[in-house]
Amino acid sequence: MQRTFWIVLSVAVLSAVVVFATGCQKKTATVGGSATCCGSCAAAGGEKHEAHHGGSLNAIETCAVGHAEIKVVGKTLSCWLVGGENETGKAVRTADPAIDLKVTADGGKTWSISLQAKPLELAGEKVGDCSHFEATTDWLDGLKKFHAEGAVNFKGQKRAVKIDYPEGYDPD
Amino acid sequence: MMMWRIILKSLRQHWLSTGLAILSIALGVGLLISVVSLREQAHNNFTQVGLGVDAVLGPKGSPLQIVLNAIYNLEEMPGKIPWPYYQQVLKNPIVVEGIPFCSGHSYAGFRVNAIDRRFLTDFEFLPGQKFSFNPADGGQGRAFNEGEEAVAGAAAARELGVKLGETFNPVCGVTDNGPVHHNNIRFVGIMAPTGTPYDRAIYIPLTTFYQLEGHEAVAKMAVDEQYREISGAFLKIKRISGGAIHPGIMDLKYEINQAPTAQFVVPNEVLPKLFTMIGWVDNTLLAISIMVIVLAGLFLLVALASALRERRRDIALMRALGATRTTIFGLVVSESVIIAVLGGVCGLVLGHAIVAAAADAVRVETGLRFSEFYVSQADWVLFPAIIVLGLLSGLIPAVQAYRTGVLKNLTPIS
Amino acid sequence: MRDTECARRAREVCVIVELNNLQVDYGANGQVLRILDIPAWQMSANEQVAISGPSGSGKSTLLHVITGLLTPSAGEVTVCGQNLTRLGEAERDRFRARHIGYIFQNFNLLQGYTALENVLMGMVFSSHKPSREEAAGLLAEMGLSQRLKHYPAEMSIGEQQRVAIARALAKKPDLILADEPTGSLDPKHTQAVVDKLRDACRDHGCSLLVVSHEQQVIASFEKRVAFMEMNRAFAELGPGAGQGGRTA
Repeated sequence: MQRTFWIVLSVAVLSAVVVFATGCQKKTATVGGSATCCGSCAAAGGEKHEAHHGGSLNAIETCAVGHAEIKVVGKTLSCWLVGGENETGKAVRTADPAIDLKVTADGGKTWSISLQAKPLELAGEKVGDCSHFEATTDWLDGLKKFHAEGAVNFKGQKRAVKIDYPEGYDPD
Repeated sequence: MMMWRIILKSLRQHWLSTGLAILSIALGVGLLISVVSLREQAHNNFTQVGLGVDAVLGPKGSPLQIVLNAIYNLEEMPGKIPWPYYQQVLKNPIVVEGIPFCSGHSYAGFRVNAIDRRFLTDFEFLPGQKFSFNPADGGQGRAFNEGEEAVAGAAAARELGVKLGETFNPVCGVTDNGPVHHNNIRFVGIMAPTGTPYDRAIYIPLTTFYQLEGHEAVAKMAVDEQYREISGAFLKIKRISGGAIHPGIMDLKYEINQAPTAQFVVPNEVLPKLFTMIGWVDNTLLAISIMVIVLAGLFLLVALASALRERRRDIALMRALGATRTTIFGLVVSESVIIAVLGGVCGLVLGHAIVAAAADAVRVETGLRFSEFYVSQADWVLFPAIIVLGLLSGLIPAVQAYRTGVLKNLTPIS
Repeated sequence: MRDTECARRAREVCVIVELNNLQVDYGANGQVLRILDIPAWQMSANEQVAISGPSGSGKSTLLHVITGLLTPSAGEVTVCGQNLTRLGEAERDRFRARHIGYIFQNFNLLQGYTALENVLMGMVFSSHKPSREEAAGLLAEMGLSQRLKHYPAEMSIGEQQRVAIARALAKKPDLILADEPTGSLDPKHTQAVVDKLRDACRDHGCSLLVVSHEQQVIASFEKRVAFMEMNRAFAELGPGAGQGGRTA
């Protein structure tokens, strides 16, 4: 008689504890999206920088000055010039019609590429006042990792552009 | 006699404290269930359903303000956007279609939105569901055509007592104090209830808006698209396989948001921020209900402990009849768990009853749909949690019962 | 099966209770008081024994030791072939639930339970499946068939006592211990209850050990009466000792 009682009680208690514990663990939400960040400045700012196009953020000189968001899809490399710190969602225009880069692949092979201005029309951009650049070339296809260097007129002066793809360049 | 009968007998013997413990647990659980259910349903109403709008093209300003105005008929639009810009956006390959609107007018407390006719005929407020004027669905009349015609949302029609053929004069602004446009706009349709905020507005043709009496300054916008302005537009974005929104929406949003005159707002991104902002309200309610449950647990503990003082002799007697200490411990813990579970069941009913009562009021006020039958996370966690509460509350009295001395509580040593 | 086994074991050993060098001490205020000191004592299976002695002589304590409710300070207590001093508390509880029926000094019925439920309570903790029919039958044996649903407070003391006897018998014990079972009864009812108790034990095949200070009760145990001196040992008396003659 007592045995049945204890079996029922134990099963109830055990299942309660198991379900409760499982329920508690379920509350581990994940934050989706395409956020990448410059490690140290994100740490300093305490906020993750968001790459609004799902690319990698590369600081232009420093994180505070601005970023070049780089994304490679197929044979096309896109570059968006955006603001510094947490203003990575704001385009920064340049008068340059093109940005020339020297690209070095992981194995040491190098190429030159010229990113042409591709104005964001809905934003009212045009060549010579543009934040978006693109280039399409065969050797980009399948290129998973590379380093690139160049220069751009950015926020009033010629600044060096350094790109580490896909992890992002962060001098800070 | 089964062990369960001993437990139930004991509960009956202490019916007052048992009843009060059940009541206090029921109150706490009911509060918790209703708070969590309303919170989750509100969240679903605002985010998951999406109310058919993939994105809102609106003027610069607070994204939240734009969504609240465009979809929920709350707040005011922070400005206008040029019609040519809207047309330019429509040319983007991932934009399937747009429904332009002008807000900012009202009648007897309800918003009067000027909107493209396709809103009434083609727009899907929920997947596969379009607005209906079919009497079988609860609608009346038809969609408006051009001119001084209007249709009323179901809730607006019900509260205003709208009848087909009646006329009204919209007021400039969202309060009743603005100048009245004496147009005698005629109701030609009443939309079937949708249970969405769209039920709580009156709709007139977009072109009629520019030609309202008193709108002479903008009247030419009705025909001259170059100068036409709109408050915004609902945008439908292309889908990819599996029904997901085209990923190009990110680039489109970025591009439009760089423009000086417009912004692209995705309701499903903005509305969670609203919950973050008002999160403290339901967090406070949640904390209060959890505190009530904890207090109920303490009350249960005290009730069991005080009942135990009266029961020492019975416990000693059961021990003398052969009950082990662990059996006595189990009896007291079981009592506690049963009280907690009974409280939980009553609380479950109470919680859903609160939601049922609140659902009607909230629906009337906001058009948001709440169901008393919605099963929230709290419902799933309730019974395991309540059993744990019963176990914890019963632990101290059970230990006291476990330690009850037999001889001390029975006959004296002779 | 268990009862049969126990009865077999009792027949084999012919002893249902055996005490060896039993000592029970009670410590208070730094002093140790010896409540029981019994060098050796036995009780055979199916025997009916009365123990008499003045108040405070340790009669109830002896019963508590035999039931396993009290652990002796020294010595051994063997009931139905099982040395209780070697068992843990829970094992003693379970042993008591299966083998020993106890009738208390103050009847000790559960006040919130009916007569029938009190008898059923006697079965719950034993290995018997509680049976309302059996419980009702036992109460009928005790002449209480009209009182099944009555609460203790609604019954006379004599009736309560008979319920207690029925409850003790309900678990089909090998040994019934009764502690002053007639303490609150008038002479007429005392005899009736003692007779009922003895007859029931005989009918159900269990041994009976009664503790009482009443001459009328002691006199009823014509075969064997033990006398307890103050806190000390047993002095065995023969039949008729209830009349006051001490023949140890």
